[in-house]
Amino acid sequence: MLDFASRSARWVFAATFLVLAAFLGFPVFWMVSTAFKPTAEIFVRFPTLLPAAPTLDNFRGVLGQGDLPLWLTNSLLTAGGAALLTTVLATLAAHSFARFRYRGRKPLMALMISAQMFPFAVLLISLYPLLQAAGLLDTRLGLTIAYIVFALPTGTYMLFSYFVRLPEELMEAARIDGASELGILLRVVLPVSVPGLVTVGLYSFMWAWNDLLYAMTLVTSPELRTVGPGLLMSQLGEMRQDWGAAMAASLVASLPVVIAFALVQRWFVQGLTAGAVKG
Amino acid sequence: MSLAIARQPARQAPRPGGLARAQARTGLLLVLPAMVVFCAVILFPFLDSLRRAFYEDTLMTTEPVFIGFGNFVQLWEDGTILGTWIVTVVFVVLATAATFALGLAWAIVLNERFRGRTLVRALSLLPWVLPSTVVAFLWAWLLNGQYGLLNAVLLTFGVLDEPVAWLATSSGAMAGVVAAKTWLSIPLFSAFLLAGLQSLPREQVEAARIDGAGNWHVFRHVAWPHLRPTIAVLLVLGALGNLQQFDVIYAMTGGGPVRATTVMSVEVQRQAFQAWNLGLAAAVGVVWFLTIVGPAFLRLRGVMKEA
Amino acid sequence: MLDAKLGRRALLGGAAALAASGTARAQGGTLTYVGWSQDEAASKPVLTQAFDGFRSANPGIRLDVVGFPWAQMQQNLVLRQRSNQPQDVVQLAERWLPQFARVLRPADMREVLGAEIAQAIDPGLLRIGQVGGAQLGLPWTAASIGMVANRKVLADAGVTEAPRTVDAFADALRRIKRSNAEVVPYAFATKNNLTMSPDFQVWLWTFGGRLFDAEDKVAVESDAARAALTFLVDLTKEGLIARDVDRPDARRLFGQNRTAFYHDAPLARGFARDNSGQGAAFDANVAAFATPVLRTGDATRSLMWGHLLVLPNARGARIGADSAAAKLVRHLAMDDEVQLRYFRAVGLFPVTRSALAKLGDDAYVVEWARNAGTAEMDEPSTWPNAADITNIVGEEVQAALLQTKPPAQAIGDMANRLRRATANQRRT
Repeated sequence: MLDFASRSARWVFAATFLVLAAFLGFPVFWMVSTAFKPTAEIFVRFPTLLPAAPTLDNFRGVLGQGDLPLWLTNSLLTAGGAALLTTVLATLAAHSFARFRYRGRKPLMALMISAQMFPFAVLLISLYPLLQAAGLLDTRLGLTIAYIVFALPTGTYMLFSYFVRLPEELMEAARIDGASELGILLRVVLPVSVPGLVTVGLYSFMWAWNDLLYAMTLVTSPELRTVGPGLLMSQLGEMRQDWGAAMAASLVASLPVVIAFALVQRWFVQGLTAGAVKG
Repeated sequence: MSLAIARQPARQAPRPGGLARAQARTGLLLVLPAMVVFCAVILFPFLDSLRRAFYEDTLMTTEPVFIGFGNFVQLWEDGTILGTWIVTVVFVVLATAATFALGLAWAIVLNERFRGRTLVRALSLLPWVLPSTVVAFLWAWLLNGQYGLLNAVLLTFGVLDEPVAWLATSSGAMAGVVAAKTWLSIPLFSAFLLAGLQSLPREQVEAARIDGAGNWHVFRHVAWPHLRPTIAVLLVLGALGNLQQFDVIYAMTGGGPVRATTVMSVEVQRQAFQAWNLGLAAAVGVVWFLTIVGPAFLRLRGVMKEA
Repeated sequence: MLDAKLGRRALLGGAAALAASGTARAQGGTLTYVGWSQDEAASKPVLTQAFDGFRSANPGIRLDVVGFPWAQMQQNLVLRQRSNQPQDVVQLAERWLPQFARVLRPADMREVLGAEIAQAIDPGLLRIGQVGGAQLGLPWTAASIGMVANRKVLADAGVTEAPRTVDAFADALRRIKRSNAEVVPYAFATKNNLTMSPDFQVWLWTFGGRLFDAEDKVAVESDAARAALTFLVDLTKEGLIARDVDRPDARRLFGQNRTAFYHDAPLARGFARDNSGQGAAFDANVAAFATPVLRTGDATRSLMWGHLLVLPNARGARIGADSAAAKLVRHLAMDDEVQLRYFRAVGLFPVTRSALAKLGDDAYVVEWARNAGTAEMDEPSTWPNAADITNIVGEEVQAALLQTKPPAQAIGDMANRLRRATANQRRT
């Protein structure tokens, strides 16, 4: 989009890049560096940028304990499940809102969006007995369903604003060819909406991935624990706060997600160039 | 597609009876699964919480007692709700604005071609992926008065004579939590804006270039109008996200010093899970809800009109 | 909207039915333990061993161990209790007991275990588990939030004798500051309400003040309270207390010989071992320190601290000495072998007389236990809205320390806010 013919344009670009990259990157670098430091080097008055006596102890401790892969699996399953469920439900709802007219449509939309503005912590108090009555307390499925709270309304709204911009001609043409409404959604709308779907999925995934409050409350069995509460309980409890290990665990846990994103992203960009989306 | 079909039949007068009814049925059928789930996990807890705001429901009450506006009166008499409200608005506005500005700049950078772009794009997701408690701690540590890196750097270069406890002042603590939250949500914002930028047709930019437009002109008059719907959604989403923000503030400052960073979500948590006053917590939630619902709908009006 | 019609009452009714089956299961041999320590990395191995030991000794009992992070323990206990989830044996911090006595309605341990308790555990320690004369909690580990002193920092500053009075303490702090500007002489908590409130109370008591009097009236508006807060504010102004310090910060500073004094549980020595990177070699620097007194001869002040085991018993059933719950409690808190192993692993003091007797050659333990003899209960915790009161005390102390208001005004505001907060409440 930008033109780098002039020197000043190049300078501004480089400066912006460096400043932002430093702001975004430095804390991450600091975490990595800390993860390789022995405890005595961590909280000193003048810390060094790189560990003076690098050690793998933090990683060894975290991986050796054996809980991290379990937490990671649980996090990926619940957050992934929530992302999938949210995206499917939101797609159906958004398509309905964007393409069909029926009484109560606007109030329904308004209601969905309003409910998103209520504090999640308060909702939890009512959600808890509900999940219990359904027998879903302390199950991965229960947590996955609870995670729908975070992103279903916004996801629906995001996809709605996406779908409503698609040219009606696309759908009419398919309708004339005798396609069913579901067929239109699957074969006409979805292929050109990949970026929107990926964004909603990612948004939902991230809310669930970062959640602490719900996971801590709704799941209690050690074998169902997710990364956030697991870390908090084992490394940052009442007795010991082992930050070297916490950093190491955070990095190890985040790696699969970053890799997954790198893969999705390629696809995401393809979806963008392939899709005939004109704003 | 030269067929004489209106571009937006949804805006037309209803079609002949049978067809309109069939259409309505299909529409309802599609929305049904989402509605069932929505009613169960969001609407029911939401209505239940609204109801609870009018009850005395504490750890000590065996049965909730209806007390009308009692919880709201108590909130007002405690005299802290106004301060909490202001702190919340300040936090949400600052964090959303900062994230938007930096996220937009980062999206523009990532939209250009340079070597290693894919890697940088993937890595810049990291702030979002790292466990938020650890992130909050990391920022509190960087700003710590006794062994924080910021002090170490400033002392080394002689900018400071003695260490400063950055998070010990009201404005310092607010700046600290805003910085941490901004850092956390830049990936989300820039991912959205980047997707928006990528869908900008190249021909539009090229046409502007042919007319002799510079970078600023292309940004202001080509990219910005194209991004506007994305921005509207993003600002609302961002503000809602910041409003719900709890982990970072709680772990970094615990709402302090004194009450300088006690936003609504921290207050709700305190009332609900420390003071066990579930009715009062719900009342705080209602105040917060009433605050946000107006501006949010005002902002979303444009998109709602399309419905 | 069909779900919206379901009232909570109906849901809780269903929940009660579910829970009833849960209780039946408990009688059939499942025992649910709820706590936090068994999940923390430091104590996980030793407690896993303790629970496994219990399982192998009692093959007929299915022990279910449920964990929550320490900071979320209370909220989860309430949610579990409200929805009738099984919890047969619960770990509590001593400060939570008065509040949770109302929620969990625990069995009196003296009725469950009988005379056994008084024989095994010193009455001074048993106090931390008592509410209104009943032994609702059995101490699992008990001591105090007392003070520790760093011998190396003191020696480097030429302070050869531990200061015993408030004035001597302030002088020592000044000498330390003069000798090394990079040391925070006294790492008083200045950040977190949960730690500021106990630290302040110790000084409040030392100066002869109280938050509440014997009639449960707010008593903090006193010369003693103003003097105590002024003392702390003056130390802050002189740079002897630092801002933005919470317990974890104090522990790190201590392990790096960068602070001379701070308040902590006996775990302080374990933290110092970790944070210094020197392990037990650092023990020589760590001394239990009696909070200085106003006049020589006064009793030293500290806060009772410990972990309790509690047997929730809302239905008022009779829990026998040979019940599964009683067996678990006995195994954890009254078995010397288990108690001493726990001490050696994480530094938590045992509670039984016989286990303590075996630690007679550890000066740190002996000294600490002596100082803890005059420990008192945290004042806010006996109110049903303890968290509110703790926050009020913490916020006003912090406001004074950060010099946003003078000490006298902070005390006045604290008194007003405490009066409002306790107006409609009754103390346990």
